[in-house]
Amino acid sequence: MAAHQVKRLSGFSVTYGPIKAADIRAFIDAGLKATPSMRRKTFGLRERLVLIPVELAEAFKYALIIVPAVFLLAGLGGPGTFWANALHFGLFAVYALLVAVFAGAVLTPILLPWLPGRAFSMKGALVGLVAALGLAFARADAWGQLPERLDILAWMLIVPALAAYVAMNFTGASTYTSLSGVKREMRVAVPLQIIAAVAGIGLLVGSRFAG
Amino acid sequence: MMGRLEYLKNVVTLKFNREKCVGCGMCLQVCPHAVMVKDDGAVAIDNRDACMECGACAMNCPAQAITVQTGVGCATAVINAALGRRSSSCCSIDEQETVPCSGSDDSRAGTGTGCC
Repeated sequence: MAAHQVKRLSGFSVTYGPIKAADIRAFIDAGLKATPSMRRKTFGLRERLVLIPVELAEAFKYALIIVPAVFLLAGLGGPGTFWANALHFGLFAVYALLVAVFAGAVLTPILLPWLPGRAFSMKGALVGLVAALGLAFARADAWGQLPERLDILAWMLIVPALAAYVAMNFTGASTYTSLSGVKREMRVAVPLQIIAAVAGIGLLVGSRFAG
Repeated sequence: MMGRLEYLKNVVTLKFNREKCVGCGMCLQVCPHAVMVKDDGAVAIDNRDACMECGACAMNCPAQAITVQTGVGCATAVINAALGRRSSSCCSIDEQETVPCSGSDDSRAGTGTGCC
């Protein structure tokens, strides 16, 4: 609303209070004076934490379809029987997807101020890369076999890309991102996410025929 | 909380016309990120990169000294707009509007994005 317009149209004066309802009492006690901190919108850890379930709920809407599909698709081709492949590669795929969502929707919001870069996708990609490296080390013993190697490399591309995408969507929940900034971020980040994801999926498909 | 969280540098559309400013300080009152400062009666942009383009300053400037393209910085809204999903979804971009608000006409704050 526009205070001067309200005044002009109705005659009433507008007094802008504090941002948080919790500060109203102090604001009134001070004679309707807001301190600078009352007028500043923060984005502290507690404020970020309460938003994480919203992000997870949004991600899991898609995960409910993608996770079973990836699990079953992993059974096709590959070195073993359908179920052997699904239980080996498919379970890892499910684990990798969940780790990517966790990296982008949980770890990135929590660690937001301490992660390097300003773009949310950059922060998410970094957390996703660390998570992907962890996943790769967990399968280090399988590195010698070509299908395994391709599978691991594929997820090292897909996990950071997905984590970056999920983290990028946290811009809508944040209290300090601008639309112009988000558009600029997306112009760079989205093509990179698509390239990494497509390359990763290509490697996954390739791993089905390798060895 | 730790240091100020800031988004990308040199990207926001906030513009301030010093010539038009009457020094009322309303922009300082409504800005949630202390983007503007007032020194010796003169208002200036102190931290442009902290602006989230909410448009509150432009809307409350009685002299139309501030303009900004408003909208919520929401990637989901941008994606929904690109996919042609309009107001049916939670995060959406309905229109783009530069906001030098107020004056005597019925201009309004941009309803650039709606976001949950």
